[in-house]
Amino acid sequence: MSAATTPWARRPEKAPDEPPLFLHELIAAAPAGARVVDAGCGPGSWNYADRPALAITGFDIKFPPGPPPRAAHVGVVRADLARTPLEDGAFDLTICHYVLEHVTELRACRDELARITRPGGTLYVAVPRAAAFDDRLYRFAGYFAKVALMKFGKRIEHQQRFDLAMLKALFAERGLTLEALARVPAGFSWMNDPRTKPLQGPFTDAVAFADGDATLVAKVPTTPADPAAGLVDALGELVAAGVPPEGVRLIVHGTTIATNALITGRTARVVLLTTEGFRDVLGYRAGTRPHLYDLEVSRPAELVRRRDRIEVHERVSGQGDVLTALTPEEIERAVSEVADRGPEAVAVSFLFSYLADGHERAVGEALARRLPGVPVSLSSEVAREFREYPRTATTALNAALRPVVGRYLLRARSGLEGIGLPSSFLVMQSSGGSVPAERADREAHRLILSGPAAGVTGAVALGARYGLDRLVSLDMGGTSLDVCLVREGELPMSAVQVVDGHPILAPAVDVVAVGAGGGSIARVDAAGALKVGPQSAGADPGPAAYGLGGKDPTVTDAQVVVGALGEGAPLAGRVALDRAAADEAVSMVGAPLGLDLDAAAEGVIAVATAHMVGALRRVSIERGVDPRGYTLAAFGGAGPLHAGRLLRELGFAGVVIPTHPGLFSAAGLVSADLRLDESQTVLEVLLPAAREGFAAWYADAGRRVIDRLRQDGMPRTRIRLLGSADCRYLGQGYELNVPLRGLTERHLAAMAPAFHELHAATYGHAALQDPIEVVTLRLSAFGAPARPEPALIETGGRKPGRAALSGDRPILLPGGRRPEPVPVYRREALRAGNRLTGPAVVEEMDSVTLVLPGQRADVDRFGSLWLREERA
Amino acid sequence: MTASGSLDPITFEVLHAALLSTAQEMGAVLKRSSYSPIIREMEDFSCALFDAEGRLVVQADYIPAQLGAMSLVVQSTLEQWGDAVEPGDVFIANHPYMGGMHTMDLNVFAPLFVDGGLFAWAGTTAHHIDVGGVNPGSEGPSHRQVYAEGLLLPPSRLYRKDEENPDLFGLIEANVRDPFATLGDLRAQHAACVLGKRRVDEVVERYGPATVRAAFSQALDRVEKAARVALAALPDGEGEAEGYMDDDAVGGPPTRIHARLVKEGDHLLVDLSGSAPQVPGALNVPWASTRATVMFLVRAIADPDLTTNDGILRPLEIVCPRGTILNPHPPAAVSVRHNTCQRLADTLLHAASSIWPEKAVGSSTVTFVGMSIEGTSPKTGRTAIMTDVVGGGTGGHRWDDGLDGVDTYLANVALLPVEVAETEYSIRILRSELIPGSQGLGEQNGGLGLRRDYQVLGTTHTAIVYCEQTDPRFRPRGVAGGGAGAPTRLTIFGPDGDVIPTPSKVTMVLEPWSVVRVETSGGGGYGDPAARDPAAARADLEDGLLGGGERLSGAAEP
Repeated sequence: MSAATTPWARRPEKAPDEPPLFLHELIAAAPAGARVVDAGCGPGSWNYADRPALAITGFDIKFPPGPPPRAAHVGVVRADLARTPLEDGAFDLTICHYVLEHVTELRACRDELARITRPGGTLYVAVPRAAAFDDRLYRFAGYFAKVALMKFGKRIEHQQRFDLAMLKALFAERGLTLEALARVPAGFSWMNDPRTKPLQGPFTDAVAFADGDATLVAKVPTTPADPAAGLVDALGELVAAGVPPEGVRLIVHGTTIATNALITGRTARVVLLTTEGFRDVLGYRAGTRPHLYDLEVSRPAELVRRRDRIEVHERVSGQGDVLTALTPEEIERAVSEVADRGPEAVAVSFLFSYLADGHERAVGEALARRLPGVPVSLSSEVAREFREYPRTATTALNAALRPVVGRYLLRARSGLEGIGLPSSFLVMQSSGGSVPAERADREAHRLILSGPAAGVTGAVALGARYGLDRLVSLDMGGTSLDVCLVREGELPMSAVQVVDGHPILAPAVDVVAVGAGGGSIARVDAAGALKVGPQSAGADPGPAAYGLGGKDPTVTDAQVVVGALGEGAPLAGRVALDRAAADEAVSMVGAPLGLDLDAAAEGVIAVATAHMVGALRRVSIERGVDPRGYTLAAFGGAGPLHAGRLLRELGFAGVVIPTHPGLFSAAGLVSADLRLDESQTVLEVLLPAAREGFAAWYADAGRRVIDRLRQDGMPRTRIRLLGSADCRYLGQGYELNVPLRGLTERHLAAMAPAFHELHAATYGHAALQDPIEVVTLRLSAFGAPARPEPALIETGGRKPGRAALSGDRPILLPGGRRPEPVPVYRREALRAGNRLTGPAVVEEMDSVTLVLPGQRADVDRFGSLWLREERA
Repeated sequence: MTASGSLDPITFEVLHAALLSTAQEMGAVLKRSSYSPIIREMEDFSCALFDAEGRLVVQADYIPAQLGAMSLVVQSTLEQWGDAVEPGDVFIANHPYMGGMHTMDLNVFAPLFVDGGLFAWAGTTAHHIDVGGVNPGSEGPSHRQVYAEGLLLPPSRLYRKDEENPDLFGLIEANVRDPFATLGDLRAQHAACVLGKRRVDEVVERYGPATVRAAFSQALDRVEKAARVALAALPDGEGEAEGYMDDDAVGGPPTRIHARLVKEGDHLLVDLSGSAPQVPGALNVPWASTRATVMFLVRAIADPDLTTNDGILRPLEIVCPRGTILNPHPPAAVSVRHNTCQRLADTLLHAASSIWPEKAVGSSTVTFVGMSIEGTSPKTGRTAIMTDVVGGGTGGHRWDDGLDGVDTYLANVALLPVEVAETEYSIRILRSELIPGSQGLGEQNGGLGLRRDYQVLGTTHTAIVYCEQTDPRFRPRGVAGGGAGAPTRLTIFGPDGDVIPTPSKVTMVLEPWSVVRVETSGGGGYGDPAARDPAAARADLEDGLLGGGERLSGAAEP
């Protein structure tokens, strides 16, 4: 992980005058010329690249040998932490990151750390907690000793177990007392959470398309200190590579800015107004615990502190009638209280405002007058849906993100102008649609899951290109596997997602994420069972074969052992893979299981495949479909490597592997439509009389969204509306989203039969006699921007040309006893019409495809590979 | 498979993943197509697969109270029907003295045959909103016999040859208050079983019956071994604790729960024989629930991520004589057994804290306010029973303060959203807020209790409300010098706003505009309050968490 790009931890309630607590804050805040030492630096766990002015010394008992440390280390020595050659008080900042748990002479090491840090300097210590479920940070008086305790399934034997009492005692012996305690939200595991995966990508990818022309690709390091700079750098590279700035018609941007802000706690300070008697809706949340069996779980972080939650004397009934009117005096009082707190943004969420929004609007107008420039989010505008907790959380989240997203987009726009690019661009939303940057801040809560959405959007475009109406998209990267089922070109959506413990009411592409990526770690548990994932080595240190200091055996290492990944494979931009390191890592699980190296590696892959099969089954069963008959679109760096096995396990009709599978998510952005979503909870029984009211809402909402898209410059002819309604049998608690073929009363008449049919298809039964309740009406508007045509590749014969074959490699194939030679092809040299018969390997810059015996791969004119079973 | 009949670890892991995924898929089907909020919103259900002998092999995790549930029911079905179990049968059962938990938990389970022989079972259990009996919702603390608690179903065929058994559907329809929801939920449970059978069939077709059978047996061995390893990692020791229910559910004296734990090597003795004899009211605990509570303890202290099957029982010895509140003779009433289970869980954890003080955790509330108010839905005009479970504070622990206003220990039931309650029921919720000062103070404070005011609208409503810890002696305990949480309060206001004196367990008719106020306990604190991080203490004040003068002394309790 790198200090700069990792969402290190949420820091609750940090006052502006408080000193920095987290490591990346310390690094950022260190004055130029500060003397910094990285004690036990290993191969360079932290990336100091954004603070080149610091003089950072590193030392490690095991160093050298090993790969060189990060360039930012100015001097590296080999030293034992228990007895370093460094002078007393030599450093202003001492970093000791995940080292103490490995040492045998704990007290001697503690003494050295205290000794080499100058009095009044800063000492940072991070250790994993035994049986930990969260991260914690401690600040000690005198020095700041930071102790981050994290849950991470390291196999490396630890010499020490830490808990609060023990740490306090340890540091007290050197006159240090615990001064402050901060914590990371419960249940948040930033190493493993697939939703945070984009944050671990240390690179910004940019892809340029031109009509019928080859794509151009740029990859630049992410710049956490100024995230907008990374975007501008990446596009600048493309310009440098020959993209004429004045010829650029469309820029689509996927960003983790909102996710990052949420997970690192860098959100705006929000004041929340609630109905009297309900200020604590964000305090007790849903009334449930984050873990069933862990009695030592951490408190979840609060979006809005209790002191900033203000009650307002007003009340609307469950039928939408005003029970307690909101008086002008009360508005004045509430607004004054808000102003006194000086918030960066304000959220207003009153009970039943989805039925009657007058009170929220009145307060909103008064706030706008009193606090010009401070964004105000009303729950009746952000999410007109019932259930007060998710609606209030969504509204508070929207408010907390608006200033952050707004500042970012402003910088990005001026940066683009600076390099001659158009400053108006589109931003990807969680829904798989995009929104103009000019007003994306108002939709900030809709940007949180834009990462997974981009890949699926690309898969939908792929399906459209080939006329496939039944598609499973599989995006497998280093950390996780995102699976999504696409029918008839429509993205499956969920109306609510939970991110970092907060429910968000906003349509998001319904992606099932499992912790099964190339970096997933294999281990043998105490009971002797082979487990793979969900812990991941991520991109850094990554699999052992990357040679970046990772020691744990991962799925990628297993693929190196069986030979599917060749040592020369330039995966993830690495120069070479370290076969010996992979062997050593995988033998760590082989030995306790009594398996030889090959069998252990095959076992790790088989278990990982079983998890993938489970995920694919779950996405299909939840929609009542059988994956047979579906085509699998496999991409992400690791997807094509596993596609052949999944084809065999699940009996897909075939697998399509697009060109540049590792960059497919970035490429997918360009296929996103502009998208607007509206919703309204109605909770009405579906009787013919109700249809008139529904049709009127669709007509009003339709006018609103069309107007907005036209203001965005979208011609009416390119705008498409899609209505749907969340329905349930009266008395049920979960809704099914029923798509509508049109929005007139005639189309609404088809809603009931469509719901019965959908219920039967989804759950295997329908209750034709039962009344149906319409819970929420939904309308989405899509505007399709003009897009470049895809490039075609040259045509060749059935047999690949000689230039395409780069040689043979011994590979242990599934079910095989020993490795056998398998031909290896270069993808860029394949021609349309070529057919490869399995076993075969296809290598390209960012991915490797394995075709199993009994399978074949055909190349089409777009360069896509089609895997099929020969017998099929 | 090796000669010894055990599978290689890879094949086992692949098969085990398929079986676990099957149980989860069953849960997805059941949850999404059920009618009762208690199933869909509160996740008060379980799905599992069993071997031919009825041993639980895999269970999808939803609610701890049903840990290991159903294996006793499947086993009692085998005892009763033996060879008469046929392909296409789907059974239903809820009898608390035939392996069931309480009558509202309806078990639906189906045998799976391979080559004409019984091979496995797929089963679900779900808490239904009502199964008839004296009270709406079927629960009643003052019930004296299980016969008052609704329809009793010994293992019976709900389906024959995959067709609904109309006799039984008719019988159930005639006996429950909301047959629409009940029958809908039973069909959803059936759909989940059908899916489970189909998936197991697919696995058997692919790997062969012998391999799958070996995987079943190995799954049990694997969990047994994991439990033993986790137990062995704890220091040996012996400890005990007691805890009390406020009464015996019918106005009698407090009821004692006692637990003694002896941990030696990889074995744990759980001796519950010091607990009170069975009581006249409905606080008695059927054996399946007592067993589930002990399984909860093992997961909480040994390994929260342990998977559950019957293998977890093998390193345990549970001593619990018949005739006690934790293993009663029929026909003792059991419907509010959850309160006793929560107290048992707290007592077991307290005993564990005495052996392993470094893992000590302040007590969570075990108030478990259960409430059913029968009225008329403003939306449908039909009779509608509102149930809500109001959580409270959990205990502080070495790492952090407790959680505020949540369900605790054996259940994790969501609070009823106000906007659902007022739409579906003739109820208005006047306030729903945390109670400052209800938490036990400590270096790490307990979580806060919750206050909810329910006003009944329009007509008279029948209400059943019951809770524990209204007796200050039994409020949540602090540990390591931490203070106790505030006790629970139940207050009922008449239409004129006057307080109507009521006991803590009550069934009564409420006049229109009456208000039921529930105030739950906060959690116990951990450690000396004087050692609290000054910044956290300052934040407590700024956030108004400490309340006024009405809190009880924060002094540590033994």
